[in-house]
Parts: sequence; structure tokens; C-alpha cells
Amino acid sequence: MDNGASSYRRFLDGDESAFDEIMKELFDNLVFFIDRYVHDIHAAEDIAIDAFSDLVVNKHRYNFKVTLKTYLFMLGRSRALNYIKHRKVIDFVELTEADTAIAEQEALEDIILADERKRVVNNALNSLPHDMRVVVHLIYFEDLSYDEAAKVMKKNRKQVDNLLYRAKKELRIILGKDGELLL
Amino acid sequence: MRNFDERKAEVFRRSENRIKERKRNRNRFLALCIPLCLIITVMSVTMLPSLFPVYDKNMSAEDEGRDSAGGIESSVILTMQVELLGKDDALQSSVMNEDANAVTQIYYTIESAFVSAGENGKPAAGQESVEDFEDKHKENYSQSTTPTFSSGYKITFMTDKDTKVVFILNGNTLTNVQTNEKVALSEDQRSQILNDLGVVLTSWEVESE
Repeated sequence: MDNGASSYRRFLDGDESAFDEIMKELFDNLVFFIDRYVHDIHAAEDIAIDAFSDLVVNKHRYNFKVTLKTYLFMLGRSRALNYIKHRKVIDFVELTEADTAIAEQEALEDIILADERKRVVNNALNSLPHDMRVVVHLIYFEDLSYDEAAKVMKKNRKQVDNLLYRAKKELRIILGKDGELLL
Repeated sequence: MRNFDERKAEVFRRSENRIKERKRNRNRFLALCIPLCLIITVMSVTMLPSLFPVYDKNMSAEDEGRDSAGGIESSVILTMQVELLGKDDALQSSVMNEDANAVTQIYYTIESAFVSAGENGKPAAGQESVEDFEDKHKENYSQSTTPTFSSGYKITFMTDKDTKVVFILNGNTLTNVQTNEKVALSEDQRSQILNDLGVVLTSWEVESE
């Protein structure tokens, strides 16, 4: 599985349908990942659209040294951090909009977290610090390798190892003995 | 949240907008840079030459000679002193001439010897180069970089601005002490200079020859 690299090559060669494949495969996951940062499903979707448009505008910036999924997640993360830096401190949302957003988020989780085990872990993640949450998401939910997760988070392999070790320790406490089996 | 087709359409719409924006920015940049480069080029072509001194190729040979002889262009030569140097540069006798016109004439006569040596870098007809003269008189000719003279005439010109120009006539070699330029004189030139100086060969010089 090359996580979209071969599809992207076909897209670069002129096959527009290859881009559809990439979007179907990676878009929802990217939105879910970005939502870990921005905590706003609509903003996460917007940012994900911008990240995909980067693939179209800067076609030759991706050098195939990492998987396309890793590259997209790197783009998504940096755009998410940029968004957080520039957004207002308190963002007021209409109650009806908030209800819609929650519903959409739950719908997205239903798609990504089809596995019941992943739902349990996801609920437990909310009590973890941000970096641990992100590293568990990348390795457990997105099936990235330690090296790929390190590239996305702009950390080194050792740091990712440490974060994951501490995250698992915390999750064991939260989830209990039964929860340990989920990881 | 948007459905799949809406998302895809939005991705391509934003991509197109970004590409258009990039082209527009590039055109704006070129629209600004090209005139700026042209202005800088025109300014450098028109203004820079006036900032640097230009070598005047039409300078006359007389001017060149005056320059090569360490000539004093704007000053007026007032006096001339001629000293006869004996062995070890000891002063044997000295003559002072305060006739400005005569002195100026003598100065230009001496200077013309350098001019004729300066033209085309070759000695004038009937005049040998310093190198040829040195080859002929190797034993007697001093090899040091600063001129040392065992005998000869030291001719000092004083100007109205209190500057000095000093020449040494040693045998057939005429030397400008300031510029250390040497020229080998022909017999005619040497005689002319000595006549103008009003110098009579001393018995010491006759013995050394």
C-alpha cells in the first residue's frame, strides 16, 4: 500500500480520476486529524480542502520520499497550526450551528471509527495532552509508522517513541485492564 | 459538511484561484521590475562615465613628455643650479642661473630628451636606449635601484611654487631624480644640453674619459 503515491503519479500524468481516488481515500481521515487541532469540524474541512488544493497548485513539491498520506498530513498540520494562530480567541457560534457541527463530527467519527475499539480509545484520548493525542491518532488510527508520524509532527523518532510510551501508560490507567487489550 | 462532489469542486476552484493570483502577482512584479531595470541601466550609462576620470587619448607628445620627465605644468621655472659632482658625489663647483627665460629654455631642452625617448617606447634616431647603453658600459654602470653617481652634473630647477625638479647628467645618461627615469642621450643631445648649461668640460672629466 503506497497511500496514494501511485494515484498521484497518475494524476500528474494527466489522469483526473486518480485525484478522485486520492480524495476518497484520504479526505475524511485528514479532516478528522485536523479536527484534533482546531476542534471545529467546518474549519477542519476547509483546511483539508486547502491542503488538497496544495497538491493541485504545487504539483512538483511532493518528491515521493514519504507517502502521500504523510505529506498530506504534514500540510494539514501546518495549515491547522496557522489557523489556530490567526483565529479569534473566543469564537462565538450560534446554538443551531453548534448542534449541526456536533452532529457532523459524530457522523465523521462514525465513518473513521467504524471499529468499536477505536471508538473507545478515541473517547479516552480527550483526557491526554495534545501531543500524546496526536501521536496516538497517527499511529493507531491512521496506521502511520513511527518515522512517518515523526515527520508529520516535526519531531524525531525518539521523541515519538517517548510520547507513545507515556500515552499508552496513561491510557492503561484510563481504560483499565480491559482497555489495555484495545491497544 | 459538503458531499464528495462539492469538496472536489471546491478544491479545484480554490486551486484555479491560487494559480490566477500567482500569475497576477508575477505580472505585477515584472511590470515593476522591468521599468526599474531600464531606469537603472539608463542612469548608469548617462551618469557613471562622468564620475570617473577619462584618459585623454589626444594628449600631445609634449604633454606626455612633460609628464614623463616629472614636468611642472602650471608652475613657472625661476632658477636653475648646476652642480658639478666629483667622485662620491662630492660637490666640486656650482653655478646658479637666475635668468628665467634661459632657464625655462634649458628645462625644455632637457625635457625633450625624455619625450623623444617616450614616443613609441623606442629611442629616437641617433639615440641609443638605456638598456643598449648599459650593455656597452656594464662595468661602469651602477646596478642599484636608487641613482648613485660618481661624477656628472646635477641640474636643479626651482619653480615659483618652491618645487624642485632635479636631473643628473652622468656621461651620456640623463636621469630624472624624482621619477628615476633614465634616458641615454646622443652626442648631439648631450652637447646641446651642455652648451645650454654653459658648462665647459672640466679637466677632471677629460681625465675620466
